[in-house]
Amino acid sequence: MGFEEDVLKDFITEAKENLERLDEEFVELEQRPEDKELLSSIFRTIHTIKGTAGFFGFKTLEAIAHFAEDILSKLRDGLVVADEETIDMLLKAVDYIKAIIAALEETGKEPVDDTYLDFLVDLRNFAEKVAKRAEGGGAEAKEASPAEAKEASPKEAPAEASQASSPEEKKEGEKGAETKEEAQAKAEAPKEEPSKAEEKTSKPEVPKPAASAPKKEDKSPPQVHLTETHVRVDVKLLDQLMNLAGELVLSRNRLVQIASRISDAELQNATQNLSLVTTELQEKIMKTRMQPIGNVFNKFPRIVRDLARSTGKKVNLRIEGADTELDRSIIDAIKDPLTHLVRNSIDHGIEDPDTRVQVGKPPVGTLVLRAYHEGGQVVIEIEDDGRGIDVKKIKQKAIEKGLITPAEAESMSDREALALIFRPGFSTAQKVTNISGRGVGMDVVKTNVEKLGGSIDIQTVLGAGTTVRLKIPLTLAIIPALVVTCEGQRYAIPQVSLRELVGLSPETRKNIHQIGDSEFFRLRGEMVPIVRLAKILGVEAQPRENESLVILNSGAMDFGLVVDEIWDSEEIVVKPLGKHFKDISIFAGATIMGDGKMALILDVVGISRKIGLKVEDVDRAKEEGAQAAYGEEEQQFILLFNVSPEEQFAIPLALVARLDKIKADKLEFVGGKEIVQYRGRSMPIIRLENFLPIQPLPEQEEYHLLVFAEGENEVAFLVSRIVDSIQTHVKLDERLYQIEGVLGSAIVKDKTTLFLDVYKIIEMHDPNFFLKIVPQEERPYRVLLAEDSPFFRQMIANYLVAAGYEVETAADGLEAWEKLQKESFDVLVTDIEMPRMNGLELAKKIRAEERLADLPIMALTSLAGEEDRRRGLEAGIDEYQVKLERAKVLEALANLLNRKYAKAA
Amino acid sequence: MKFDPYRILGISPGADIEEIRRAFREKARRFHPDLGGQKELFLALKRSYEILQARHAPARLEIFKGRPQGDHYVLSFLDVTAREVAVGAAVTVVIPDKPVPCPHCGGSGHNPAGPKRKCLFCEGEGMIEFSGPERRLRIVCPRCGGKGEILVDICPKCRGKGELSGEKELELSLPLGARPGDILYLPPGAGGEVAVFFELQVHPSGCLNFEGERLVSRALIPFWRFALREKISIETLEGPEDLDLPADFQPGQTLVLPRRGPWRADGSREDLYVKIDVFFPSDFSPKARNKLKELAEFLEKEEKDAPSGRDRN
Ligand SMILES: [Zn+2]
Ligand SMILES: [Zn+2]
Repeated sequence: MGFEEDVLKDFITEAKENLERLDEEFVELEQRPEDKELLSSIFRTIHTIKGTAGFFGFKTLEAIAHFAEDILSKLRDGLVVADEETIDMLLKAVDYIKAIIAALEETGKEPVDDTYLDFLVDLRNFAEKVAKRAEGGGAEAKEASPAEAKEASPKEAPAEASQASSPEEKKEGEKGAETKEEAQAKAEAPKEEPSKAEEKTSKPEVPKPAASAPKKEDKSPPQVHLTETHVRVDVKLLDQLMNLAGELVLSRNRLVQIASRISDAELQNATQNLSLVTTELQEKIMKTRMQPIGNVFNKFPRIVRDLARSTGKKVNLRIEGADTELDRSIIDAIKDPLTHLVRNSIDHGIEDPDTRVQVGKPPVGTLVLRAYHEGGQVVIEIEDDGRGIDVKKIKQKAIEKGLITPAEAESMSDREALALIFRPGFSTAQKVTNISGRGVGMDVVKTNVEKLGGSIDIQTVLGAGTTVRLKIPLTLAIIPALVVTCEGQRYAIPQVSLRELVGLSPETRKNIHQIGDSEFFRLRGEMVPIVRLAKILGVEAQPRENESLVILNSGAMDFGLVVDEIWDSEEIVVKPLGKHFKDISIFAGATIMGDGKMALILDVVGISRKIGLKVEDVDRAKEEGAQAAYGEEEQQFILLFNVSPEEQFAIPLALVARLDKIKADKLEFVGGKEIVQYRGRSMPIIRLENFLPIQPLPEQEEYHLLVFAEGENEVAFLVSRIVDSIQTHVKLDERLYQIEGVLGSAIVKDKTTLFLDVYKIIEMHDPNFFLKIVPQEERPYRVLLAEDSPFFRQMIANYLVAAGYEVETAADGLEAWEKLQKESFDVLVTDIEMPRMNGLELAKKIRAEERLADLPIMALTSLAGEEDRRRGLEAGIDEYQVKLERAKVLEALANLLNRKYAKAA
Repeated sequence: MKFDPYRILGISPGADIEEIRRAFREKARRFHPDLGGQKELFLALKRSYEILQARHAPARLEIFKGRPQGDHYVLSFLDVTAREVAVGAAVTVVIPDKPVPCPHCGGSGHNPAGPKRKCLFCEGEGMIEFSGPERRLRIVCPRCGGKGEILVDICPKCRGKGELSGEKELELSLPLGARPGDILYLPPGAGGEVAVFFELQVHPSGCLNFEGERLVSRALIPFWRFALREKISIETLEGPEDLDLPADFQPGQTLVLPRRGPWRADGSREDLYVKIDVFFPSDFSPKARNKLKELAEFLEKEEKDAPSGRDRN
């Protein structure tokens, strides 16, 4: 291989790389036609091509590059603006350059073809038009031109040509001038090319001969063949193709359905084939819509550099996964939110170098923009190692803004507080951003992301940095969906939101808990709010035996949707809704089903909002639920409520028969007692301030009722607000509040919370409320209660005492064993899981001792499993009950004692 | 399938440059089109060789035209002096490297200094017991790793990831011809894990600095030296140097030292521009003041005596 050949190869390789970049840059130029840097970059690329072409003596290439460069220089200098026509012409120039490069690669020679020279003439004319526009219509003669031309090197012959023509000349007769100049230009050009060009250019505007006619009408460039082929396709055409593919999918679905009715093997085969091809076609077209996120990411180097410079900060930008592909429309839509987030990170996240050094960080901050695919979605992360978000300041700001009360702020978790950033009105003024960091328009960012069916999430560590994570679907047009029915209508739910399906049988319905107005479904220790689709749709629902629960994820939270039936799972084509549907936020669009009927597509995010639950609460419940997945033994469902806003109370949720709301005017006094008409009966009301030294219940229009039931008896606590229901491990402090009716205190959700002794309070209100089912002899039975949790110990002891037993307590099995040695008891009630000596060990020990061999033993657990029961029976335990099921415990205890002592008698 | 140059050359990805060269030569001989080989195959071989050659070339900074792009890359900056840029000096750059385990949390992702809570899985025992098909098993608690407690807070250093992005230092020469504001490019492979773009941030080195594209050496001299056109000392890329001021040299003019400026990419040199600022002390000793006055009177008288005037230029 000779030297020249090598250099030529290098030139071609380089040119091809440059041309690829040009493609991208032109696309950007359409968006930002006045971007100087972009124009300069394009100019340089073309200039390089021109230079090298001159070196090799490729005249056509050099000339095309020259005129393109000429136009670009005017754009770059801001003399004219890049309009569609100009960009179009430049794009054509690039296409011709590509074609020539392809030919060079193939043959080592420039192509000999009229089309190139024809285009050269068009381009040259156009360049002149642009030049005229740049000079303000050619009013001003440019004296300098000839002088400049003189200086130009022979290599730049075409430049000489164009600059030599003064505006006057052009006015006189463009065609004439052209010819002259062309001739001049071609004097440098080798072989036959110039003469051909001359022929063409000298033709005035008379109709062209047939041979050259097509090129006038069809200005599209010749068929190009680069090794890596790219063809420019109108985006509109792609959209149309996409739509058509959508129609095809619909027709296919319909055909498949018909085919399944008419059981004909041949038809089945044919439809199956069609089905496959359709799917593939659709995938391929979808691919054409995919663009690398680099199209957005790659504009951040400049933004970050500018921002760093203007703020005096030092920032390293790290881009990861710029090749990750996304639907074009989504890329367009996330540009602004991303820019916003990056700005926030540099403005408010990353500290200035001095501050960073002071806190022991490297002076240079790092900003990471990361994209990757995850389960049909694209995750985009904006991560900085800056100061993080100060949750306290966020709360403070939110209070100042009137978004929350100080009391609410106090009871808020960090996660909830972070979510405040996304509230509309959190940050409008600039001073907010100075204090709290992020915030400007974050509500808008969130809305935009959610509009795309995506979600946004912030993770921050104060002093260490912040990560904002966006999750966005890959594409919007054709989506796999779950089709469900509600009252005879079908609805589609995007598959990407789907987490799980649960059939609702009498058995699984036990996991549904009513809390306030809301229902929750307990899914593996997690409390998931559920809502009926019929209710959301506002249709009259018929009661049903078998419904289905669709567990969905809206990005921010999980929730369950109760539907009548799961119909099918199929690919649907999203059709926008008509205008009259615009207001309804629960639909994302419509689709045509296989049978030709329309089905609405549910907007999962919109529905999650309709549930009316605070996302943060659910989030936290979820977190806590997940933590509680282990160690069921110690975790309790706790209901948190207020009487006055300042004090928080808790009771075990399991004790509550129902939660309800009543209007203030439903309360009445009868015979000195406050009652409420409830479910056709009058139910006594307990105001806690009458029994406990606490702040009184404020006047409200509406109150919450905590209803407790014992057999036929019912009574309710009247409270102002249900704060939450959480699953948590209670660490009760019994010392602080030694008040009757209070079991102790604990910090729950950052607030001191009083745990109330429901049984004691009810007994104080009505000593006859609980039925006495103690098998009373001449003296009360003595119970030894072994329980390590003070919370349960006291509560169980209280209800046993209330039921008429004499109770001695022990904190674990060993202590119980010791007490059994010293005193005599009629029965042992013991927890299973205890430190030092557990319930099973204790039972075995008792059974091994002759004196105690007949002592009745009842075991209590949080949840009774069959395996536990079996092990318990083996160890010699007589009864097994669940701690919080007071009535059952008492009944079983009475039966146990009766059995034992009747036998003994 | 992705283009895999190693596969095409039939060598393992760990192969060194010598092995790569050998493989290419041997295969190229067999598949050369002149010897009846397939052209496509030969081109693929050549491309593979070039890719690997580039990958094994010593790390070298290049001047990058256009805007940074790629799948993974880092945009950083280089703080350098004008002199370093002008002569293409060797500088130390910090580039990303493989992630390292977080030293604060030892890779666990949890803050060892933060609060702890009892492991609920094993009830704080560190062991869990369950009945197997034949006998009871006691195993180390998988959740807390036998510690019986669990760290609650995530590590503030790595924010729960357990690792930090690593860094390494490289000694690299600045490419000749680079100028302030240019972007330098370090390809992946040769130096670090990912491509790195550096924005050149150029600071003055002593009296030398870039003003626009020109390298300018500024000198500050007292007015009498200037008036006497005495030898002055200036800073050049080769060090301090004495310079004769031309007799007709006036303030505000620029001196040019041809081909003494920064190197260009092709090895030739630009000019060095010397700008001289004149320094007028604001305070003189009485003695100096008198002498100056004396001189002033003398000069003014001389001026008057020669009405035709001396050539001021
Ligand atoms: Zn454990
Ligand atoms: Zn760490």
